[in-house]
Amino acid sequence: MTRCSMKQMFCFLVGMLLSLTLSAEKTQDFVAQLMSDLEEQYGVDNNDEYGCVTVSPSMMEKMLKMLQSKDAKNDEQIQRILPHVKSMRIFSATKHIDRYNTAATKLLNKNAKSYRPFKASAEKNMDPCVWVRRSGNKVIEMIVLNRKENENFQVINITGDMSKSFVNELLKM
Amino acid sequence: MDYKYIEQLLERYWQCQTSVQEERILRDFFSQKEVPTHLQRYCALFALEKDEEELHLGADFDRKVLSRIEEPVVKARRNTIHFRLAPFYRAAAIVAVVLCLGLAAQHSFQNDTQKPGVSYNYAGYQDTYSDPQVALDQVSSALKTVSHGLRESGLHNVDSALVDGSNDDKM
Repeated sequence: MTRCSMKQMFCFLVGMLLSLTLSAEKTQDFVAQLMSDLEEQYGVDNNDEYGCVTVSPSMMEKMLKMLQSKDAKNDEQIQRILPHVKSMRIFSATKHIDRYNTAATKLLNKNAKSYRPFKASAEKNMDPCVWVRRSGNKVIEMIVLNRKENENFQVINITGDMSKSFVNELLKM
Repeated sequence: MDYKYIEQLLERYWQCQTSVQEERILRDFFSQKEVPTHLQRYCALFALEKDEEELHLGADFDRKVLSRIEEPVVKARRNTIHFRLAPFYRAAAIVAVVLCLGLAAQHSFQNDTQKPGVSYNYAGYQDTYSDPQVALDQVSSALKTVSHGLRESGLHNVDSALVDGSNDDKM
């Protein structure tokens, strides 16, 4: 191997390594993906037919601090839940409920590698309404599709570190 | 003829006490044609010595020997920094190949849900509410909906289903 080709190969390999390292994903959450899909498909924006409430990680921290400073026994449960939640997005639509429900389900199925439906019983013949995304063994994103017939359609998107204790507390609500 | 002197020289010769000059006298004596009978047995010895004395190195002896023992002239070569770093390049390339193969294998065998290191782009988040209390009300209400959704999915008591993935539908 000549010196030149060895150097070239070395640079090539280092480049490959760097690109693999940099490919550590910076992803969008599900609701953000849904909204950009809807904008592409229907050309509707956030203020038109649907709304989206965003609670960022910094607001979550503020809420937690506020709760900790308050002396309220009623908030103990939410105080145990909130540290597991990093952010929340709530997509809601009151018009074209079917359209948005279908769009959300389609997107979830399209990203089947990332999102898996959570159903306790496989025999239940219903569309899954809770979907989860894992990183390793941890649940890092939870999506709940909540449809009230002829009323509204909601997608609740939570990101964070959702452990067993988190689910435990959530079920008590 | 009195050969006493020769016999004395011979005696000294056997005792290794003769000088170079005395040995030459002996050789000259024994190279004569007429040597007494009792001394003739030594003729061969001194004749041999005389023959060997006449042996000389050839004119090309030095050249031949030197050509055999002299090392070939090696010109000094300047080692460049690249040449000196070549082993490190090679080692780094091997490490890089192994890492690349490992990462590629890991990348291809893992599905997306198992990939560690998924991070969200929180920089793009714009809070809808500026008041934490209003946000908290909204979050509490949404969490109640999530709780309801989980119960609807059949999860009524704590198990590890959600966390370890054992309760997932296979897709």
